Amino acid sequence: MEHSILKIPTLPLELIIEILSRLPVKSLLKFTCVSKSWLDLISSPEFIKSQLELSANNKYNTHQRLKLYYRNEYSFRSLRSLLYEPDKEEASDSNYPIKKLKSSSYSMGSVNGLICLVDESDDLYLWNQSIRKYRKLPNSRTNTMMLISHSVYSFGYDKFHDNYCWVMGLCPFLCG
Amino acid sequence: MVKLKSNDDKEFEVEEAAVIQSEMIKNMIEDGCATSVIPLPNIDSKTLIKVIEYLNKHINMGKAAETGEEDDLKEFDEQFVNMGWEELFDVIMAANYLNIHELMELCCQSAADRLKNKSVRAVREMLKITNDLTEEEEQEIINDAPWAFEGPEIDDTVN
Repeated sequence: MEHSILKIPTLPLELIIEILSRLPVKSLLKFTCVSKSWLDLISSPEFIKSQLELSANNKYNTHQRLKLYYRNEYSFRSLRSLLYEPDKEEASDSNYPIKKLKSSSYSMGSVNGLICLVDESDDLYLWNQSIRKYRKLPNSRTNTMMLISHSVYSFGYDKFHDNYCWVMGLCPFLCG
Repeated sequence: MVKLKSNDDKEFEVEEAAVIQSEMIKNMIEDGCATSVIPLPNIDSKTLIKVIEYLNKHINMGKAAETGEEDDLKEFDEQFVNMGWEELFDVIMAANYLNIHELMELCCQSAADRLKNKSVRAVREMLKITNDLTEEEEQEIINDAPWAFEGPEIDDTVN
């Protein structure tokens, strides 16, 4: 990876990384526009991981979000504002994916700010609330399975393999 | 007492309890390499004075919690980072070189807080970065997450 950052006379790359990894996601998305090397740096999995680690361990809880669910819609509030400024209104359009799909859904779980949702037709969505993007996941469930069973889902993170996974359990209707 | 020498040949005496917050100097002392003056060729006296001020205030950090001095220390930290942008960079470089974890944390967070709401143009100027993205590439990035480029908080000033 070529870094034009190295041309900066004052601050070496390692220190730029130290500073950037302390920024919230919105600022980081904005700063991908600063230069090619910043775009590469901020989009790299290594950087994303270190930013996530730092924000998760932030002692002032500035980046922690609480997911609220009301009338089929999710909203988010920062933990800090709930703890210290409970009366302050916080507006957030988090691009809730299912709203667009006009169907109710429930959350299978969330890890590291990623939320896994399943809608009425058993379609799965992975939603990254902080960058306001979602992706439909391939569902291996067949039509026959849908007819004879009810499914339960769970979503988790495999730290050992650094991988996110969802698990589906099938409960045959006959068993009640 | 440990003697430190800045790159402009000024000597400073610092208590050992304070100076060992620097991992680098702590290692030097443990290895018996700090018998006379420790030269710091990367740090000028102006920056070294700031660093020593921090070290002296933060002696026995663990005790602060017990004696209820935590707020005092927090206030000091807030005042401490209230410095110019260039000066902050010098302290970050010094903290990194001397390996003073808490100081590094404090100053990098302060730098991040200052950059947080800055416009892209302001950041380029503050960090002397030349934009090498084409107009199309830049537009593509903005179109991908337009909400990140909007908001009343966005600040185009350079300071």
